Amino acid sequence: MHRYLLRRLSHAVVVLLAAFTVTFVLLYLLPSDPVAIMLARGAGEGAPLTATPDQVAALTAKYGLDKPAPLQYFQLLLGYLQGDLGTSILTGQPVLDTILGVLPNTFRLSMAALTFAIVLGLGLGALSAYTRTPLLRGILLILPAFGAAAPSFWIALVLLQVFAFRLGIFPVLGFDQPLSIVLPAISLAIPTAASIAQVFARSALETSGAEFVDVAYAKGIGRPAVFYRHIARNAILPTVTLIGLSVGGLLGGAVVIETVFSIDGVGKLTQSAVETQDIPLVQGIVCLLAVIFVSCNLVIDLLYPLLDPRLTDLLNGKVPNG
Amino acid sequence: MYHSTSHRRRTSRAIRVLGVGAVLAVTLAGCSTGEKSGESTSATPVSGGNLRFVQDVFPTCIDVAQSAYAPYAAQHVVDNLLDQDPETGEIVPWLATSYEIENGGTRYVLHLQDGVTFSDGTALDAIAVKDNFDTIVRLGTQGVGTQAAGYLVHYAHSEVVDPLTIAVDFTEPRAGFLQALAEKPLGIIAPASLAETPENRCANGVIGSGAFTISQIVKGDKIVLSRRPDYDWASSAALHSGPAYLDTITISTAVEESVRTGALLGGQGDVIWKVPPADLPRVESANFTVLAAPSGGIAATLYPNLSSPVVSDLTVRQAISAGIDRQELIDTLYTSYDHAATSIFSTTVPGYTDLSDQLQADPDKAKRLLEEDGWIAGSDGIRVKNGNRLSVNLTSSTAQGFASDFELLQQQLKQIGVELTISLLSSAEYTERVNSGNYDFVYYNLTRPDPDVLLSSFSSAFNARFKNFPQADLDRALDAVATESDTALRAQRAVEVQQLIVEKAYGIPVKENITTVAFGGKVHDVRLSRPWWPLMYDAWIDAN
Repeated sequence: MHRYLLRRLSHAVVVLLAAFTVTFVLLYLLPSDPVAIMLARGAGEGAPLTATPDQVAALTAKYGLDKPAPLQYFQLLLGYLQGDLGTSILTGQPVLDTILGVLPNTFRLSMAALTFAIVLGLGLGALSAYTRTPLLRGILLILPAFGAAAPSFWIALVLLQVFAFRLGIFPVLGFDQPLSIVLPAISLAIPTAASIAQVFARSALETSGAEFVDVAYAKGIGRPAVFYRHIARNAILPTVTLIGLSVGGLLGGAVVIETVFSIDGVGKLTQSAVETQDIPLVQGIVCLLAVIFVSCNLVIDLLYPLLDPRLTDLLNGKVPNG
Repeated sequence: MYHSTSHRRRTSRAIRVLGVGAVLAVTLAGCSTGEKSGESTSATPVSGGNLRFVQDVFPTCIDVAQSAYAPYAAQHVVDNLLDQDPETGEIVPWLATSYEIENGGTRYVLHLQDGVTFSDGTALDAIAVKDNFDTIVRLGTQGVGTQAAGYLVHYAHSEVVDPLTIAVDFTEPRAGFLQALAEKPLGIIAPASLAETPENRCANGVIGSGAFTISQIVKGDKIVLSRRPDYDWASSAALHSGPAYLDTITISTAVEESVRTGALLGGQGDVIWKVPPADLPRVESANFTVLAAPSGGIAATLYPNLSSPVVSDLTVRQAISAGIDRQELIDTLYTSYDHAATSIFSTTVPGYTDLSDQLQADPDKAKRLLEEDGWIAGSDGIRVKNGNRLSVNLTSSTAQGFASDFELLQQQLKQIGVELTISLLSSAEYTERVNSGNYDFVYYNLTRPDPDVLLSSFSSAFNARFKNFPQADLDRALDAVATESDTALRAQRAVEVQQLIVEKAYGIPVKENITTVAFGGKVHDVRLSRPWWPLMYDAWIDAN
């Protein structure tokens, strides 16, 4: 078990280093001049650059852009290990502060969205697998397809129109009131809920046909108990993997939802950073997201043995019987 | 197998409940809560209340001296030495009650009001003003706040004559300095803020002498302004004096334009900025007031790159100017508030002259000019001369949002045999392309209601495009405008330089960029400044 853990950790470190290096190489190879971009932005929309060579030199030195690439790479790596992610060209603030400034919003939004997605997805999936009315099952199995196909911004705008503008239940502006999170979280949750519902439903339906389920019924266990204790717990495994993958995506920031609801989050920050070629900021965001992805997957991997005792035995070297 | 009739009954009851719920939701959605209509109000301003202003984007920098992008909050915090009357464009007293121009226009002596204080209590005197100008110039050499520094080009030094008198010396006559003093980037800020780093000023705002102070910043979301109760030095162009009427102004952000409209119509916002053109009819029919103002400065203009062989040909430029149909652009893509450009300036710039007869669509004239110049139509309709196709490239950034305009221009120019290729790039790539000079046309407008605005776009001293290809007649005309202190004579010079630019097509103006602001019946006296920013000092809300 410990070997398993150590192995997973070392994989994680390798992945993070690779993400850092690949991002650095790609950004370094970009044919752009961040300093020119910085100066141009101060001058006004579309206006041409009127900076002197001295101004350009001063800013270039400030961001260390005049040093050779390998030196920049190792200095940056060293900085990252010490928690210094460089300075953002867009804001002039440290990259770490800039990202941490928007991370709480994205975190709140994605956790709310994840909660909705899990509740909605598992609920829908369970209902469609549990019901024995063919019509209801048919409808419930089609719903996820709509949820996945509908563009999230359209869902967001419709929800806004109905529940915020017409009915006035939810606030439109600002993100600091308790109710502000509901509409964006639901809009963000629906595509993920759709996938969760589908995977769980199919998995549950498949498991329903297994022999051990018949044995359980034969033993006299009631339908709800069979579903919860036997079917669901087996069907949940692929769903947990899916949830783990979704967390990374949700935390990566949903640019569209953040734009529609004017939420200052990681998605919008990423978009601005890429648009303005704010290289330190893009590097910081990519690496931070890599850390989040890797951590989530690590947690899921560690959760698995808890959910499925067979895996614990396997990892401990015991051969499963039968 | 397990089977239960009660189970089936539960399921169908569930379906029925769901069904009723769905019908209910749809019905409710169909009912409008009733949009605001104009209510009868008293004409006397009422003090108090919170105004909810919805901006289109949260400013990346809340210091208007460094960035005039989305300055809706920042500009209410600083005052200027002079002001520009929103109605007439005239330069009028504010913190400086009077001034003299000496030494042939190189020295400006300004007399300050007594008793003006910054919101931290320190006095606004000549020393503070000198500090402001010196700091702006110093930061400009470091590439920070280049717009403000640009207003002070040729600045030599400031002299504190006495606590309420300051003399500013330039190395050359700067006739545009008076209007520059009315521009928010030259607003006077407290010495405590001058001592801050530019980054801190961007993140937290500055301390000024304005009618409002920044009381709360929720980054990326909103800025709250609070009234300054001891404010007593309003601009002479304002509608009242003394403290502002509003207790607070809450400036929220709604990037998505339909959300802004929804906020206004649904009663969650009082004033919204930049009404989406598609929503204007709905907003108007719901009895909201819509104010529109052109960006005071250079109209949205096609700027030719004179280093490009095709576009450096005067005839080609003149033909393109005659070949585009500005009115068709307005009719097809814009609203009744928009106008075709009638000069290189927008109509609100002092010295503007109407040159619309030279900016009419005349495809026949365009074709004739090109034919005489040797451009003969090829098999695909595009003209060719000496084996070269008449193909011009228009480069823009996606952030500017003119894709539809360019497509229409493309169609119009095809009629006269010119092929317009459009390059829409990200902001970063766009800057790259512009700096490398690899384009035929760029397209943008500049906001500054003074003839000096032409300098940044057309002067070989300030503009990279003209630095390598200086046009002597243009530089002469621009210099005349920049250095002529006499108002009447300067207006005449402005007319001459406009005529020159339009005639020689150094810039091909297309349309005036306008902005709109909408507000409901309870809100009064929101004004738009001469550049085109919202002014809320005089604004008030009905008591109920």
